Amino acid sequence: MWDLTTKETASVQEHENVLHIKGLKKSFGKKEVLRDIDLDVKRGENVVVLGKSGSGKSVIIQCIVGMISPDAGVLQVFGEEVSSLNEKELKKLRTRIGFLFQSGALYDSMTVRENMEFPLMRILKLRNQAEIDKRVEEVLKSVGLFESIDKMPSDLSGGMRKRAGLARTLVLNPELMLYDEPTTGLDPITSREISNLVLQIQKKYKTTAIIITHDMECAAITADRVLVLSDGEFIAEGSFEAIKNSKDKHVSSFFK
Amino acid sequence: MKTTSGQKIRTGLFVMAGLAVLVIAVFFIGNKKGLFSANFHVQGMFKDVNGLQLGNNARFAGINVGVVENILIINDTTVKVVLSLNENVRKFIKRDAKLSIASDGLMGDKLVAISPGGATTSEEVKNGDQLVAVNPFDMDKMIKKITGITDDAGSLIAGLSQVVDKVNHGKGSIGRLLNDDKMARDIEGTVNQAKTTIANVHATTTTLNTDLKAAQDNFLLKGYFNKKKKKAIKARQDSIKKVQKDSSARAQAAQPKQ
Amino acid sequence: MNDEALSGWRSRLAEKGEQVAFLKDFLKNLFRGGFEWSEFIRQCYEIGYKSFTLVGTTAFIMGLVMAMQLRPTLISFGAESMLPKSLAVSIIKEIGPVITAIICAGKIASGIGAELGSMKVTEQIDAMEVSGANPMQFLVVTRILATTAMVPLLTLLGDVLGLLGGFLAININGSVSLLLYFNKCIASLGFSDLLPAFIKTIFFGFVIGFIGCYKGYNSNKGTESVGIAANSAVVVASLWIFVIDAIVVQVSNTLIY
Ligand SMILES: Nc1ncnc2c1ncn2[C@@H]1O[C@H](COP(=O)(O)OP(=O)(O)OP(=O)(O)O)[C@@H](O)[C@H]1O
Ligand SMILES: [Mg+2]
Repeated sequence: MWDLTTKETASVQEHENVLHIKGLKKSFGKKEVLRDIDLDVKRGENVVVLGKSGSGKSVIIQCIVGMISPDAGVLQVFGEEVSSLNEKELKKLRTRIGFLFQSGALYDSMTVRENMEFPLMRILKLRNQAEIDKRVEEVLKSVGLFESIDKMPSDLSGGMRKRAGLARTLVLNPELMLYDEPTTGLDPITSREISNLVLQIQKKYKTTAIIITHDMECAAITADRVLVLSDGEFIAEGSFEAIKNSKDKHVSSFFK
Repeated sequence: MKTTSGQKIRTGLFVMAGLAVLVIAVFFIGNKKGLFSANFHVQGMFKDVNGLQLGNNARFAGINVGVVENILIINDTTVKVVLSLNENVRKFIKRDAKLSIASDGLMGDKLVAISPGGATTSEEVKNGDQLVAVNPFDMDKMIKKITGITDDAGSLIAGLSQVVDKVNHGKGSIGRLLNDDKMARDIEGTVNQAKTTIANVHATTTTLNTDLKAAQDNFLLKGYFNKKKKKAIKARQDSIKKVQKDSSARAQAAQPKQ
Repeated sequence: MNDEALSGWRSRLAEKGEQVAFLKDFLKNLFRGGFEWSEFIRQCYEIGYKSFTLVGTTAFIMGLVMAMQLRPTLISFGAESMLPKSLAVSIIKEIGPVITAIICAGKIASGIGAELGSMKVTEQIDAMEVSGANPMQFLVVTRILATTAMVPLLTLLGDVLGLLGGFLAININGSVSLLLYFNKCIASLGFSDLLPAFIKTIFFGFVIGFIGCYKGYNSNKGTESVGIAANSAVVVASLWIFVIDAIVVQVSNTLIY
């Protein structure tokens, strides 16, 4: 692994470790997707993971929320080993993590408002309708979707769906956000808006984030640190500028 | 999507309708089986219940008034049948009522028929009473009887065919009568004799006729006969008159043949 | 799940194992607190009320046609007066429950299979699970309970409409009063006819919801798998309906007689 950011790592070391991954392995059948993953994420940091399609980026974040159990390695979130958690503890852990799906994954039988209310009522167990409304309206305003509050997901554009999906994860005030390709399928202008939104969220809600993308502009806007995934390993790590100027042909191929 | 109140109401109506069907069906069928009205029990000891089943109907005067509630084998020749009957019909069934096993139509279910009773007592039946059981018609015995009759008929037919055979060959008196001319001439005397006999019969029936009339008057005076019986007698007289007519006609018919 | 394709009976056995695990999961979530009432009521509306027109119409026509078909046969035995009885017995004990269940398998099991299948494909189920909510409880428990409750009710109403269809057919040819007709129908039925028929519709409802949910919930993540989930839900649910029908008639016959 190429360590290009000695300065920066030193500066974030004083923060608490939100995520600690060491020697993570995962195969599907004979196919080795993750071979040896090491990753530490500090509180308040935005980490971007670059990698070509099918390299296993989504698998990493699915392991973090316990949707996929790894074959080997250490995987600690908020200091807890995910594989050792029982169902109840895992559920509790998941409420502290926000996961934005590639497709947005809005519940298409419910309106935008009901999509927001769903986790509030079931996970935070809020019963006070005034409080629920207040939180829903606030989060929708912060993603700029307040006018569409009573629309069905099928009536929303791709960008609006992404925002709504984002709002639904933010409504629970997560400490760690996992973004799975927040800008794919969007035009450049909307992509830039979403990327800026990700940055705003980091500032406003003080979240830590892992952002998976192959959109360079998104990476440039959001990243505190960039990692490049290839053949089941991180082959480069550093600031966006450092990665961009890398001489390695695998790494530089992303910027062409 | 949240359910609107209209949808909730329609769902509610749907559920109510379904449950109503269930309740109504349970009520009607239960009512038919006498589950929801006051009941009392009677029992009878049968030798053979002929395939009677639990839940079969009990009938009184052709009306279903209850069901067979229990069938128990008491010993090798006794089966106890317990009936659960509607309380409303208790006053019509007397303690000397009889139970019998019958069928509803040719292929229908078995049922227990209750005859009203009342010939020897007017006391109504009580809960738990044991009634007299008339044992069902025994099919095996009936089949034996029929076999006996057919055997008899067989030998009868055999004898008859022998007789016919003999007649055909001019043997025996009837054979000769039919086949011999001389014999036919002898009949003349016989017929003459028959004519006298029939005249005698005529005289006798006329006497009988007058006797009967007298008897009738006698009974009428006593006011013993009702109109119906009078008619019956008249019919009988008519038939006797008819016999007289017939016999005289036959006698006359026999004469010209001489 | 394994990449290696398990062939033939091995994969079928593996599926049976998965179904047992799914059943266990369902039961566990059934008795967990926080029942999703409003979703349950919505499903009752979607599954029960919205299927009523279809089930009712089919049952009515079935009753009508059966009466017309039975009539000539019964007349040739001189048993025309047996028509209400034979209609009542066949509709209540067999035709009503099975036809309703098969229609519901076609409409409801496929609907649930497709709905949950597409929720799986579009990662909605994953999103629910990852957010810490309980998709088993919200999606599966409500749907299975809704079918278990609604299919018996649909069958009861279908039975009534089927008998009314028979009544109409009888009155095309002759005339029988509604009172006499229903009296004869009721008179030919006992609890030993009604109870097994009713109990089996509960099983039918359960199996329709269960298979629909299982197929949808465990579908693969491709667009074509939505169609596969819907299709196999209908096929498997229909098969189960006939198997349950055969088992119930055997069990009830040994219990009652
Ligand atoms: N649940 C699974 N079962 C079997 N194989 C899987 C599963 N999830 C992922 N894979 C395999 O792992 C590999 C990596 O998948 P992953 O979704 O992580 O790719 P990705 O890097 O996110 O690509 P993309 O940018 O297209 O989203 C793929 O080859 C995929 O076939
Ligand atoms: Mg991916």
